[in-house]
Amino acid sequence: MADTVAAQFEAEALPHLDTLYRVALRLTNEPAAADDLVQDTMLRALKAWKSFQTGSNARAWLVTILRNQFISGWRSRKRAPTQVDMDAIPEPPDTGDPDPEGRFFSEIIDEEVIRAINDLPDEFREVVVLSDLEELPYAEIAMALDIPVGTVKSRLFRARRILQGRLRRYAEETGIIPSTGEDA
Amino acid sequence: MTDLPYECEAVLNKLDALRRGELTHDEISTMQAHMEVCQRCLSIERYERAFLARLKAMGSPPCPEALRTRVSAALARSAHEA
Ligand SMILES: [Zn+2]
Repeated sequence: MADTVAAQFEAEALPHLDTLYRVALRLTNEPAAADDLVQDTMLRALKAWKSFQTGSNARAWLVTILRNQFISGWRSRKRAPTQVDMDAIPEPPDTGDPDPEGRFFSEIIDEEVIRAINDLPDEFREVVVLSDLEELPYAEIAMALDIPVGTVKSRLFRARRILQGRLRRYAEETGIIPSTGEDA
Repeated sequence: MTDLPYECEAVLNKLDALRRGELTHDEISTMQAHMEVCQRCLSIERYERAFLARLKAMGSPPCPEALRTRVSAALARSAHEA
């Protein structure tokens, strides 16, 4: 009996290990911590397997568990959440933009992109990770995070603006693009 | 940012759907017509496209084999105890 349940669980859950690992890596930003988080998640999910409705979305269910584990176990050890001043979120300049196509993005190194994602407040980081890195559909993200689809969209919109502003500043500071000299 | 004109908000809300090819012909032409006259939406659309392409270029590392083995072993132990 126990073997059948375990086999069913493995058949549904193991195909999502890659996703869980990448999400854990971006949430914790430490490979060792990501490993532990993934293992904790899978053990917890096995114990809770009875409550999973056959035919519903296993990936979203697993991401929910991973995120809850992260919040209760890992987040408390991190720095206090970053406060984002919404009024300070930059928009791309309207005129005189030296790089209106955003070509500079391709010249920014991976480490800087990852640093920018890591520095996002958790509620923005998780939507960027699930949508823009993992390419999960909005409905599945909404399910995993237990928020309305509209909230997923608006957080994603803001998160992208924050990231784009930060990467643009980086590109200006490192001379990838000339500075527009705007300080607003 | 919070006070976008209604037409802009409608367009920006559908950028992902546009990129994913989920819109009808009519919806696409409405959006294109707007972006021909709205520098802000056009600029955001281009930025998002470039930004998403940049994220994609980072690739997706798979779960390391060692972790896969470790998780399977932990699951087997746990199922045994249950
Ligand atoms: Zn517009």
